[in-house]
Amino acid sequence: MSSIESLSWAFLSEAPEHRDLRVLEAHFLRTLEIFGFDRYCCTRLSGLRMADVPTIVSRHGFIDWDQRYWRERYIEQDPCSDWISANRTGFTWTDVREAAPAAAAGMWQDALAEGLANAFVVQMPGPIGEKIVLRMASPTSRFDLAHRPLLESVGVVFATLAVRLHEMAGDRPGPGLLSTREAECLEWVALGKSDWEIGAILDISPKTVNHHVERAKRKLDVSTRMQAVTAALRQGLIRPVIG
Amino acid sequence: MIHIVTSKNRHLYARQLQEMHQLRRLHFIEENGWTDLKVVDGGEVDQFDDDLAVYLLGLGPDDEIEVGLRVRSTLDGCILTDAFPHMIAQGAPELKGAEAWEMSRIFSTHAYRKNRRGGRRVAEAFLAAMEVAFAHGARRLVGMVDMRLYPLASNIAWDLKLTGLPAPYAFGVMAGVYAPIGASEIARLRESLGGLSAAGYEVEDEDIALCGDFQGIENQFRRANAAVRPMVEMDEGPHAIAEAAALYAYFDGRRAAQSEKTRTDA
Repeated sequence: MSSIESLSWAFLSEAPEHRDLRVLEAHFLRTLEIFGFDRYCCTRLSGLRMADVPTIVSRHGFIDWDQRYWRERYIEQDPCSDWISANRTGFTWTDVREAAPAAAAGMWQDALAEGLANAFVVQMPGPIGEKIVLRMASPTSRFDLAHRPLLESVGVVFATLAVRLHEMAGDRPGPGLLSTREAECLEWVALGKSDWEIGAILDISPKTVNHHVERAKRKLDVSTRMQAVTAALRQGLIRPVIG
Repeated sequence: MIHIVTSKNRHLYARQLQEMHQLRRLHFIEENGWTDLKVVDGGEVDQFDDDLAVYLLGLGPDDEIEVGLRVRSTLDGCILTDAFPHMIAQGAPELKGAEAWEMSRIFSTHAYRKNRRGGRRVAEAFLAAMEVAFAHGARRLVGMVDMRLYPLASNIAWDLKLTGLPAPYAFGVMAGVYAPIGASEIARLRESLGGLSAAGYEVEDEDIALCGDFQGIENQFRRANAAVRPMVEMDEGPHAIAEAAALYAYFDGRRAAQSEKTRTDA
């Protein structure tokens, strides 16, 4: 195994164990650096139109460029948008520029001025039907094509986990034993909803719902969801909604 | 309900099995570029489509296939370990043998995906795979995943792990994966699907005689699941989501009123 392969495998195998978004981000950034990339931005496109401002899930060093991008309304001429709309993934800015050399010349110049010479873009289906887009940028335009599959895999695993940890970071302590999300999820479990249904209602992924419910079960020291609902109702941690 | 199709009940699924092999050709060869696969009579077939293969099929209202996968013992062969050993890192658990069953040829149809019902039906098929494999003594499921679909595969309530470094294959990047199977893993996945008592069912001739057809059997299966949890709304369509949204609005209203009362009291 080369050093790039062994460090990539270290990330791919250890990342799912990270429970803190900042720890995951730091590990990802260290891994990105071995590919020659020094910043990234992971976004969630929940709108149907590319022009909708995306939700930032995680980023490092992309703030200035993003502000400039939206201020200058580059979205209207950015050829990368078409590639994302067409579900192309694992592409570089170089690929896009070569396909359309005349398009958005000003945008590419501005990106270069911000220190973004090239970027590798990975997109994937999000947990609730949206798109997740991860842009990894490099200060140099060189990028070893042989590393694309590995970088794509590292990017996909990072984005998948970052989306989940970002959703969980939105949770807040509740008035009692359960957090607000744990209580909310249990209330929907009481109505017989599946993780998919609860995820659609609360706008979070089914796996995040599962995480909240499993954590509630551990806090209530029970082994099934039905026991968790009963215990939570008895302790006044959730409210009955029917009857 | 996911139909468990074994060598014992294949005669009931002649149309669906033909459709499945055709869909496999369409999905894997034509769309994903797995051109080294074999096509027989318009359908994709390999050496593991034998008597030991168990097909798990999710059917739509006209008995058409929505999702499909194959699960099989690895005692005499395993695609991942035999054909892609470079995707297995040192220290990976035993991926071939009595304790491992392999999932392969996992697909969902365009028509199903267009309904935007997320991965729920696929999760049901994975649960059925767990149930079948566990019943045969397996303790882990192994398989391969296109990295583009990794977010969806890992979004299911199971502990999916990579077996090693992903590698390019045809139009995509593939990785070996495995997930442990046990009573608690199955219970967790059943709960996440709304408290199913089981996902898979192996239809017998007597079921057809009693219920008439697959839809009749699925209705019975649905009733049996609903009997376990009487308050459950099985429908996942827009109506159920709208109903849930209305209840959610009700929650919001109650919370707002409560906050207002707390504020006034203070």
